[in-house]
Amino acid sequence: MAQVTITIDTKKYEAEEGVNLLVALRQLGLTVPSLCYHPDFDPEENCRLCLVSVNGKVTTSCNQKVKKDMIVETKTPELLKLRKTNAELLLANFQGSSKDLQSSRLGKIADECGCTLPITYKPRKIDRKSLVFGNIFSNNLNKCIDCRNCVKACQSQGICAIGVENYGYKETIAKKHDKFCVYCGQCLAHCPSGAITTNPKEQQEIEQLLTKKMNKPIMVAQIAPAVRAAIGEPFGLPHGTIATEQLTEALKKIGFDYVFDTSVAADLTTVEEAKELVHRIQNKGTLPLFTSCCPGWVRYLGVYYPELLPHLTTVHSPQIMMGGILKWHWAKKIRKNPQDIYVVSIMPCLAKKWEAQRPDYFIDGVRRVDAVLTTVEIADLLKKNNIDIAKLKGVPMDDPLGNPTGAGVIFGASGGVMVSALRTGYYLLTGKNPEILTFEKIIQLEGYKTMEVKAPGLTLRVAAVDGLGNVEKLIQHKNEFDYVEIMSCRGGCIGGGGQPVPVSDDIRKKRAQSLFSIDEDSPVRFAHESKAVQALYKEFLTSEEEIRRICHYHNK
Amino acid sequence: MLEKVALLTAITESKLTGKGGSGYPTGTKWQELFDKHHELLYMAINGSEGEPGTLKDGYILKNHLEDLMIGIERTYTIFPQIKTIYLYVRKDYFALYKQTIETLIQTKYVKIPLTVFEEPGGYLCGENTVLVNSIEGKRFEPRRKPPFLSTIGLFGKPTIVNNIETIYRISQIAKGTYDDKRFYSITGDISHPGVYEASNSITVANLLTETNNALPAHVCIQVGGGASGLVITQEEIGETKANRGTGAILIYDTKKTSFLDFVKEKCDFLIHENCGKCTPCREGIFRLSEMIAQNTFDDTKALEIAEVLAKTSFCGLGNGFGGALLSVLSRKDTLWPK
Repeated sequence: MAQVTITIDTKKYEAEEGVNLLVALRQLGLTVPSLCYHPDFDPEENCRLCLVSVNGKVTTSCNQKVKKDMIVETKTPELLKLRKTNAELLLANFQGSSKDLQSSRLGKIADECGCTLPITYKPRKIDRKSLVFGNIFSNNLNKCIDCRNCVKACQSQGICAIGVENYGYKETIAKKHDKFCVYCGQCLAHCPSGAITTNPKEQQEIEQLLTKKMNKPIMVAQIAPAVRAAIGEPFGLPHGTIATEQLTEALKKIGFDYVFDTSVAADLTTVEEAKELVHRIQNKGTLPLFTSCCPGWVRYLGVYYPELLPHLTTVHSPQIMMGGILKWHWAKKIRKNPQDIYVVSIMPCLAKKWEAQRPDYFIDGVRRVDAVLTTVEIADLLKKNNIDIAKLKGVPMDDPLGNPTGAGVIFGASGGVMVSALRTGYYLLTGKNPEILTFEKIIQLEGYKTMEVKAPGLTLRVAAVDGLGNVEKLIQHKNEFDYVEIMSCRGGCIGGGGQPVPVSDDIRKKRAQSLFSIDEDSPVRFAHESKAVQALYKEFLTSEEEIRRICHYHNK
Repeated sequence: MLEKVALLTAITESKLTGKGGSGYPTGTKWQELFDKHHELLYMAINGSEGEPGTLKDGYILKNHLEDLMIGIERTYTIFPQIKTIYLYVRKDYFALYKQTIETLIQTKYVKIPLTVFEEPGGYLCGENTVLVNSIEGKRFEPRRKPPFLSTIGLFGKPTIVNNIETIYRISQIAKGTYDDKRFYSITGDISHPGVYEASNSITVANLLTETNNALPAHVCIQVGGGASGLVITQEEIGETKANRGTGAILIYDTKKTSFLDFVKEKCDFLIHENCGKCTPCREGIFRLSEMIAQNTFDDTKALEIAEVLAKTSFCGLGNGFGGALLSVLSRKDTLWPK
């Protein structure tokens, strides 16, 4: 689209014609408050805070498009007053002190609109009960400001487990009882008021254990690939900053004894999954093979497409495998029992909490992973302990398992599992490594992306889907593929429900790019060449039975 | 009777405007649809009549049903590609006239794809985009514009929505009997309430005189509808045109109805008749009601809320009510002297 001249507060600016006016104003560095606008969705136009005047008429800016010669005002006394009134009406429902307000996401809005507490109006939603989603998270409706972004997030995932009920001031977000939440957490990641929160129980338990003087278990953390690209954000580091070593140091500072990299297990997942893929191809098994590393997807498949469960790989997700390796292999090396080790996963995800609790993933009744904290939760915990990741130099992760390959790290971005599995699948089929497969070879289609690799006598066709809302489209075309990676969240795990906010496609891209650059710089980029994986097969996963116990799901 | 192109020209030349409240020129609206949208069309004729004090749609259904049917038939000749015409009427009208209208369709208008549709909600559903959502079985709330209904309306297709009275006036234009009149509904503290037909350009004062209505000594007049109408004083009736909104004129004896009674009546209605989508309606009307109930009504706060309603609401319902509130607040001391 063409660049056009527009007038904003009497100054001339160049802007792209047809672009959303609110977005254009912000790109130009101007402050226009808004609560309900989210770059992932079409504007809902509910909050009525992003008011401007266009050619003399008051309007919301989120529903306007940049037009040649438009005259925009953003800070006339009238606009400031209207914004303040609407902000007061919304913030009246905020319950807490001025300090609480400042620390919540609403604080910035209050400042921008000139609102101070106490607001004349009393909170009107005190009696509203929270919507509880398993023991994973809840929507505290008394803090809800009715922007409906959670509903849109759930809709965009194709699930619609929540909706809007009742009218006027009685309007409320409600669960749809015929629908099933898969814990993707996208509602939480899109909530501007902080009403949707993870269950604090795990965090409390971890805090208690970390500060225990006596009988403290061995506290072990494992860090998922996507966390390293986002954990800097709550501490003011630029989007996509890789902070693996700073996070490791921070975790040690608050009392973790060991910190490991889940990416190592991701390499093991790749090798096992590639083996399964090759086996299914050679033995005419059920194809395409679906990945299982995303628990939101696994839950979704079980509920909405149970008939397709035979497509799901039996290989466990990296988190679950890692838990198994730590408690039943590494524990032996340090002469401990599985029960002496407390494994905490730092994940970009809410559904990982559910995955870790699944009794059918336990070994001999013992949990592989004892607790899961999201990126946001661990950032909160560090802040509580006055640790600023941005100020740390960082220490390497613990080594007994060795370093991951680049293939293990890109698991955190959509398409990463697909690329990793292809690299290794090709090797298993031909005995040779393919040329390095990178993301440039991916073809983007409507709702999913595909890639193919020609091996002698065989073409491997794979696809990757991000966003559960796109699954239906893929399923219609599933027979065109041998292998399909599915990630619940837009952009894959880097856009997970447990990642810091704000989030947008730009931010997701930066996080993904960081993971890709780790891969590019890695000396080893094939999972089957991972020293750690090779060592695991040599020392620990020495029998089919042990591989099955640690790496595969067998409780059908 | 006039053929389709001639009729369309006649509608434009008649300067007929929509009678549902917004007063948009019907000829302009139809000409655009006629020129641009040749594919499948839907039509809804709005008989929701939710605006308080408005009685004319019911009056037409009772007294001019045959003419309304002629209007529908003529509309269909202009837009023969229409797949379904929904005659969208509120529940009481549906109960009263469904049978009669269906008999008429079966006997005289077999070729017209007309369906009598019972409004599932209240005041809200009278807003054109809410009406469309309600026919589609969706939540009763307004849609974002653009796209306008004339581009993407019912079931994603171009859709015409007109008020019952507008279509009734079309029948007059087709027959050559249209004489620039509309219906006015006069209610409240007045000797001769009812539905009257009078010129589009008549003033409130002349309308009251023509209908033999004398005002009480102390009076507040709301022109255009009980929720969104402009509130005026007795001094303003000579200069105020009666042709506003739905043509409803509500008369309040200010000795019987206090300022707070007046605002309360409006809020009691709208607190249940707003969709909840946008902040000014959902929160603002709640706070107005709360101030009245707790006896803490504050003119400054009320004015703030009225302004955000009038200027920042998502749809015309909030804008209209905000306008009504602003007009009554600015005349409060004249209407209810201390």
